[in-house]
Order: sequence, then C-alpha cells, then structure tokens
Amino acid sequence: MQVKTEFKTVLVTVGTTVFDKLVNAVFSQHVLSTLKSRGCKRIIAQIGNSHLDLSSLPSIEGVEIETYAYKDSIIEDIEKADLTIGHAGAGTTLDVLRCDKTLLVVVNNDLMNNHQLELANSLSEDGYLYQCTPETLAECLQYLDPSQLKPFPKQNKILFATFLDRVLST
Amino acid sequence: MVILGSGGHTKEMLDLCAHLDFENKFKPLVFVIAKHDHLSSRKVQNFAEFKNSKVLFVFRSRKVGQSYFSSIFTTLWATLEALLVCAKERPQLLLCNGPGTCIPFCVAARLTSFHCTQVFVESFCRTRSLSLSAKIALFISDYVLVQWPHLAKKYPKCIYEGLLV
Repeated sequence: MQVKTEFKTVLVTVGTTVFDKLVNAVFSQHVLSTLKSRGCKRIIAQIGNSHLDLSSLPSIEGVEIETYAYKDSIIEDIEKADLTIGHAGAGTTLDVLRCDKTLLVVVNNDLMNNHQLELANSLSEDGYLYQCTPETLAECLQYLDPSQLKPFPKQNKILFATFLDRVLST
Repeated sequence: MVILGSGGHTKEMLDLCAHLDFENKFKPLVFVIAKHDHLSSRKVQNFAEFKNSKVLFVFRSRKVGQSYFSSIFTTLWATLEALLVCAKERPQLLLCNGPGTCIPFCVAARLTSFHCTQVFVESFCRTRSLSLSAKIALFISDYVLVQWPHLAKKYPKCIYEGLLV
C-alpha cells in the first residue's frame, strides 16, 4: 500500500470570523483521531472570538494542542505547518498558497451568498486546494493527497506596475 | 491617491502597491481609509510611514448590514466629503478596489479633475461575477481590472492581465 503524506504539524485558522462549527469539528474525537492517523503530532489553532469553552474540548494522546485568538501575522505558523485547515477567507487562502503549502478550505455553509465561496470553488476546481464542509472534514482528511494538487502560480510582481505605466503613457 | 476598503480589500491593495515605485514615479501618495477600521489602519500606517505618504480618514458610505434607506444619506455625506478631499488633493491617478468607500471617490475624482486616471482592481475573490462596486466602476473608472479570465469574457469592458496579487 502506498504511504500517505504525513501532516505532522497542522494549522487551523478561522481568520477574523467566528467559525465555531469548524473549531468544534476539528476538536471532535473523530477528526482528532483521523489527524493522528495521518501522523499529526501538533495542532496550532487560531480560533478568533470563539464562544466555546476551550477547557472542555477533547484532546487526544500524542497530539499537542495550542490555541490562540489572533496574531498580527500568521505566516510563521503557515510556514511551520504541513497542512492548513482554514476558513474560505481570501487573505488566508492566498497566504497559504503563496507559501506553497497544502490547504484544506472548510466552507461555512451557514453563510449564504458568501463570495468567498466563489473563490474556494474556483480554486478547488482548478486543483490548487481541497475543499470540504465541517461535516465532511474527517472523511476529507482521510483521503487528502497533496500530490494531487497543482502548484499555485507565482505572483508576477511587475504586472500591475507595467499596466499602470502603459495606460499612463498613452 | 489610493482608496483602501477594509480587511481583505486593504490587504490586496497594499499587496498591489508594494511593487509600485512611489519614491520616484507616483508621488506624492495619499491613502484614504474609512474611520473606525482599526485593524486596517494599523497596517496602512506602517506602510504609509515607510513610503513617506499621507493617510486621510473618511466617513464610511455603508456599513455591513446597514439598511439601504439610511445608506442613501450616508452615501451622500460620503460623496460630499470625497468631493472636498479630491478638490483639495487633485489626484492624477486614483487606485481603488472596493468596497463601499471607493465609489464616492470615483465620482468625486471625475467631477473635480479632468486629468485623473482611475483604475479599479476587482478582488481576486471574484472569479465568476463582478461585485456591485466593480459594476458601478465600469461606468465611472477608466479601467476595470479583473484577475480571472472568465470575468473578462463575461464583461468585455474589463481588462484581464493575469493574477495581480
């Protein structure tokens, strides 16, 4: 049997939103044991203004869990993580993809007409990230295979400047 | 003059600005940002200090969740304020990427200056349809840039150069 990629350090992030459904889903026995089976030793969770009682969250032996509300920059944690489980926010999404890291976007299905969904859908259709809902998180983690993802194109830093030069010179 | 939105919009705009030559080409630089947007204003002040630019705080035309009726009045107020700012600053280049805050400035810059080039950059989040701000900007701004090829096909007036952020 093929050896699956290990996710030793997993980052969970909700950005500036409140997304307790995601936090709850991650800290369920089912998801924790799935993460452990994928080689997870450490979970870093940025949970924002969560209404959950953190002391009552379940834990699992052999997996270290660290939670915090916000940080000015999450890039360091993204760099550390082998997998990021994030909300569909554009900022987080772009940060993770630009770091060439594996991203699983968990869509908040309580938000209707959320234009961030549009982004998650397009990016997962194009094969840059995986997408699931809080309900299907465990199942998705089981089958997640980073080698099936395409590398995200690098930013062309001069594109915008070149455009401005062109239109301003005419 | 660069108009900042909020949250993700501010981040995208600052990413775009990071590679522009403000030292030699685009100066003086003025940032416009909504009052009460504390998270963004800290980021902007860091950036502005670095680029030696001015930051102006303005009224926000429509808060998230505000009713459409009351937003008529707040938008009028925001437009008046934008007219005053544009009349004083006389921007020659206006960069914006939505949401609410930028449209009064697009209108005001059109009315106060005939030599202002306006560029609206649609968010990278918009992959299938344009935001309301961008649809309005199509009528006012000189150029509307989109970051997904599908959008440029759907709205022929939009320009697709590639992924900008």
